[in-house]
Amino acid sequence: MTFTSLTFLIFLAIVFAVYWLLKEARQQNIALILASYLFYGWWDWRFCFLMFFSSLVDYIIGILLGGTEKKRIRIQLLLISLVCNLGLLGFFKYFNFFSDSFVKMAALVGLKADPLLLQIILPVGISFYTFQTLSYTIDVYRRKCPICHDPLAFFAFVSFFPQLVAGPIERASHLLPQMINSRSFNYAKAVDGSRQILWGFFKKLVIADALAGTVNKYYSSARMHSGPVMLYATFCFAFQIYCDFSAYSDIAVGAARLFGIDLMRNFAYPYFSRNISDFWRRWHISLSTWFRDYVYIPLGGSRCTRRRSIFNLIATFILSGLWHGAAWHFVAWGAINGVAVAAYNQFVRPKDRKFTVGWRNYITAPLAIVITFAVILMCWVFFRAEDIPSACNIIYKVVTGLFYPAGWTKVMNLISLKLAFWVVFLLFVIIEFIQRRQTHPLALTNRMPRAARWIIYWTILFLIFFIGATPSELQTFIYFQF
Amino acid sequence: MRKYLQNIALFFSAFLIMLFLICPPLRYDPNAYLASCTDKLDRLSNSQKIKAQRLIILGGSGAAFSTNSELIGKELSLYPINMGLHGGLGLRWDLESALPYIRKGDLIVIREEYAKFTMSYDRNSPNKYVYATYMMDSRCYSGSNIKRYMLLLDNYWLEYIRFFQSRIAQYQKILLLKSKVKVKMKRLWEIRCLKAFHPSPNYSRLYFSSSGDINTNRTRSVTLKEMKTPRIFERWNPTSLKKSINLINHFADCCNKKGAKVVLMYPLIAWKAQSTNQKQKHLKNLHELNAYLRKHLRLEILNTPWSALAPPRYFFNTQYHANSLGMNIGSYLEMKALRHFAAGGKAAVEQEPPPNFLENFEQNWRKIELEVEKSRFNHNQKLSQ
Repeated sequence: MTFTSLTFLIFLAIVFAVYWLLKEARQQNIALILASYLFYGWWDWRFCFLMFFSSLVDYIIGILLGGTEKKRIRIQLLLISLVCNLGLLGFFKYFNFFSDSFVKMAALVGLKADPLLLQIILPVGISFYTFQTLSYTIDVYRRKCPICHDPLAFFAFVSFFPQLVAGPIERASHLLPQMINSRSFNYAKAVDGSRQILWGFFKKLVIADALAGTVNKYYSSARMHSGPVMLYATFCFAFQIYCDFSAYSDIAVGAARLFGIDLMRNFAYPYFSRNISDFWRRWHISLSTWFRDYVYIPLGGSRCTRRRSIFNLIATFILSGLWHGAAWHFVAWGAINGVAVAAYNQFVRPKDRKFTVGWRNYITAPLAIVITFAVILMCWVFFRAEDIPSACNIIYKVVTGLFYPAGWTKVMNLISLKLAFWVVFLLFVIIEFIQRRQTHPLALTNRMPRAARWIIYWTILFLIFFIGATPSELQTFIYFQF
Repeated sequence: MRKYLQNIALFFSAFLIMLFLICPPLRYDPNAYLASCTDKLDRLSNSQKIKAQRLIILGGSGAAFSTNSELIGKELSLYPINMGLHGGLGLRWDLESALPYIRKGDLIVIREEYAKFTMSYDRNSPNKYVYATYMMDSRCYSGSNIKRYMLLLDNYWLEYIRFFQSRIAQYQKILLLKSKVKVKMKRLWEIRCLKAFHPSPNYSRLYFSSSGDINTNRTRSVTLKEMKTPRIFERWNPTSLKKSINLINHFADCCNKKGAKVVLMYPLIAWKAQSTNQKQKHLKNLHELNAYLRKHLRLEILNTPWSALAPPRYFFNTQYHANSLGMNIGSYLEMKALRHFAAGGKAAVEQEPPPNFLENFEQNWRKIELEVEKSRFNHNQKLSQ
């Protein structure tokens, strides 16, 4: 049941009605758990047991952690949680990858080993809810989060359906209290949530799915296309992945607000970042902060020697890359981002202030946005390509073919074929830029007359209906695979 | 809560009203191109009582546009029925819609577009693609004919219920409107801004001859922009091909049991290739496909794919839709092959493209043009015009 299906809209309407008919938090949590397990079981009912197991382990460990002050036992309990959660994640997501990589490495040193590859189906959203439950146990261990004694609230926290499959990865300290306390309907919140859902649908159906065809076409036969065409395809991918993933987050946050629950912000207009470090503060915020709090800072963060802090940064990014997918090109993607952020922090950041003060800012800001975007594009090639050699080949083609006129003519032809779409796309970028200080572009104030607001919403709905993807063109959300 | 629900209801009601004001409801078009599927099936069904031997041509729109079945029938003294209609309906539709009406003595020519052998998605089963094509294509929508189409599918009752469910839910209707408006908007844009759109009068039920050919005077030549390199030239999907082969073999077996003969002919197709390397690659792929089909199909193939590669000047708007000249030449070649087959001759077909095929490509076609001009076939063609 994906967010863009009619089934989901019907499901959401039913859950919304049942949820608000119930008055007590306990009853509402039962409704949310049932709805969430139904939502998750829609893909494969067997996955529900996995989520139940993961939730149960962390719930019990949380209570046991509260019952003891002995450090040794607390560490053992934390380790049990880590082994269970990361073990499940490792088995389902990384078993084949490590098995295959081991065989290849062994072959390099002349050893022959038979690969043990299993037919494992990756449970949808396992990386997301595993990290969410882990954050609870780690926070309880660190005494940063109170122990949850209410099993219903805890199970609702882990399985909350709007953010279950692709985040935002919530922190227990933020979401659990909301699950424990009773919720009452808030008109302003529900209206804002509905607007955010609408914007999410627009981004997914009008922008992301329209770009998907171009990206798939050129990346599936990258060797046959010139540098400018591959640059165009990468540009399309950059916006496809942004609109796809941020649309999911928008729909998730909006749907949660319909239930009176606030989820954390996951995207803050990342392509308007002025440096790569800023980009990672605005892109997939829930994951970036997760890695910052649970990997980077425990490793020592930046409060250590220069070499060590660079190592910490790159190691964290490599792990982040591996989190995205069990493949070496994701690892490379993470490593390149880590190197780029480390290089920025070491060499550019100290001089940054000189150029961003007063009138200079008007010149340097757009330039910085363009340069940052170019670096991000280069990184996306590694994310989207099938493997590292293909990614290198694409980058080589783009760099050497920048001044290849026939390639640019092809690109212009491709753009002219979809001129109507690119006009809408341009409008989308302008709207995002104008509204960049808001949590989402449709966060309109009540100062604007209702008629004007409704005209804007209707226009977006018409665009979704008339130029949005048809059912046969619909693509699944990219981040579902992670 | 009440205020929220009221506002949501008001907002969406106003939106739906505007939607239906802007997009008028669909009109049933009895002369829609695909509405002729009933005419073709009627001809096939009614001709079962006719004593003459029948020539049944199965295929997509390429068969309708490029085959003059009436003339071929005249030359071979056969009663022609050209079932060619629309490639999007799929191979299964083409074969299974005709199967119940096949009888002893029929000569059936399968003349399918390459895409039907190699489509990456499975259009050869009654699945959402067939359904979506029929529902979404504005040319297809033709009122009550859809019921007949549904009845031909496996699990037709399920599809039928789904169809009505979607109609009742209005959702499908909105999608149809959306698709129509999308097409209209695109055309408006092309007419007003790009000036590249030439409305073709050929897509109508009215332009089919009694035997099922599209009988219009088409003099235009296909432009390079209108030509797409078929998937088969670049790569072909063995899984889809196997499924297609199974379908054809099953159809051929059923026909043979009934006492009918089935043959396959590669369709005439406009050939566009930029470089010699590309041409060589295309030929290699065609050669592989031909070898594969000859190995696995349990029926006779009367020509080779490279002999059906033709210059773009024979086509009028797509690579499969021949103009009047192409239709004449293509039909002549088909007639020649069929006559040879009907006379009991074994098709002497070369196993791979001739060595100097590329160099002599244009020259060979000129020769064929001259041959056609001199032939009685051309005389009959002129008479029929």
